[in-house]
Amino acid sequence: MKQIGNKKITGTIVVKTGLHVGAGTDKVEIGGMDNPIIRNPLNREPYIPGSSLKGKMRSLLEWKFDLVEKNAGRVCSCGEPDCKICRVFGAGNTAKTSESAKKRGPSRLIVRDAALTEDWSRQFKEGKTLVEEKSENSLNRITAEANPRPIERVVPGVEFSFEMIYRILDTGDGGKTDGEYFDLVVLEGLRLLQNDYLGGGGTRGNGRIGFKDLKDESNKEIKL
Amino acid sequence: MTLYRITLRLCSPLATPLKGDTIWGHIAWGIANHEGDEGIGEFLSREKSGDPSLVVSSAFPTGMLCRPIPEPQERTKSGLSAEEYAKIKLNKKLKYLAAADYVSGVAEMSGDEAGSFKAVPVLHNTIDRSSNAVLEGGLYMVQEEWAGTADWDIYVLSSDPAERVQELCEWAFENGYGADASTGKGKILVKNSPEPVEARKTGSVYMALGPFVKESNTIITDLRGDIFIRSGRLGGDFASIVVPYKKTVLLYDAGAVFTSEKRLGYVGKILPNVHMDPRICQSAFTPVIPIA
Repeated sequence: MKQIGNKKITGTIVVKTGLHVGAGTDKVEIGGMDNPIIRNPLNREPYIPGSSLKGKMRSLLEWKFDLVEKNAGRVCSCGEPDCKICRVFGAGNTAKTSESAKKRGPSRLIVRDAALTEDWSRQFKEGKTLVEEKSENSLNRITAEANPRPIERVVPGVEFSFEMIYRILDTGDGGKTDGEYFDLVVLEGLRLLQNDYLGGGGTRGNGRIGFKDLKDESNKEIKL
Repeated sequence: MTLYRITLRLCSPLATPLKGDTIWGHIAWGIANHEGDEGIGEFLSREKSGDPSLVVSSAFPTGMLCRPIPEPQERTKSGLSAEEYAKIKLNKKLKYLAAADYVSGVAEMSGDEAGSFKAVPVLHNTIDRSSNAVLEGGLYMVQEEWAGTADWDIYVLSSDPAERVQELCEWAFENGYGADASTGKGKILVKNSPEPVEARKTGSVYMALGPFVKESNTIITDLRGDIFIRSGRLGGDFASIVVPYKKTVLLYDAGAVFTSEKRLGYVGKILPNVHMDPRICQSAFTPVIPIA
């Protein structure tokens, strides 16, 4: 097996509606936020983890390729060499997949963490508010008693630098299958993600994003 | 062999520490990816021969080196002052020292704690595709390491020209470094071309710059160092096999100090037979520099 190519996609993620990629709350702080977003722990800048982008792309593609029912809602990890999902996104090491693992090879897609673009990082350092605290509320249908909860979101307009690498491996076919899967899986995943949502609260308006200025490794424009 | 210094730029958090044996493993995978079975076979047979072409250190904040493990000293003086106690405590906490004190060609740095990592637990989850809720048992925590400084140095002792060393380092990090590289961790860029540096010419006390094993037939004496257990995990297309772990080995860590009357450039060796697949081995050698 040999790596015969590296496709690199770079560009910008533009937040279209408030984006909430949750950090989880492992400690309770008095006056602290209940539903904080994930931030760089050193400079407090919000970022989008590569795992969120990759996981959401994978999930949307599993729906598209009709794998959800087959796997009873679980992540596809059939490990078959020609499985579009396992080949591009990787599969866990189960005894079932170990035989085919060498034919399939490692995950082809590497999605980097998306940090604020230089311009937005500068604005954050200068004190511009990039994050809002939105209050959401559920009402008791009879008494109208409120159950408010705050949620932290990145405000619309903020931009993140985006990068992903797609490896083309020669597993005996001269890289033909990987080449085909780039359009069929990776670019399709980005299209689906743009039309769906990222992070939490997507069904009530959060997490709409857009990709801007997407380019490949030779600086050629990529249109979704 | 020439000792090169290469500066790496960390562009994301890490899930795997930048230790010499792991970096060497990534270089080996880079060769396998680019030159295929033949290239990696040739490289490994040379490394195992006892005349290695590439020995790699752990990474240190740029311009710094690990602190040598000090010789235990009996405290003879009683009734130390508060300042003297404070100094002893401070020295114990030091992790790095200026590299310029030990190798020439490196700009002098200050700030002993520069570049320490901050460990941050991050929650991840797996979503049930049918219900869009978190899958039963799908919530898990991963420890991420965020570096306080972006630039880190590694030292590579090699018989190859600088251009080849740079190429190997770029191959090593092009697909990310360590665990979770496919989901954003371990984005590392090679910042500069390898710069030759020179260790001091004399001295019989040496410091190791990365993990290693002590060979029984070497003339290393008075070895002091920290040890750690390494249960290496296989990468690439070996990651999904039934047993993706190597056998556990015990390694001395960077900063170990020993004496040797013979002039040394590196210590340790490649450990074979660490997995049922005979091709798999474990790097257990590291560059060393004289410090006294």
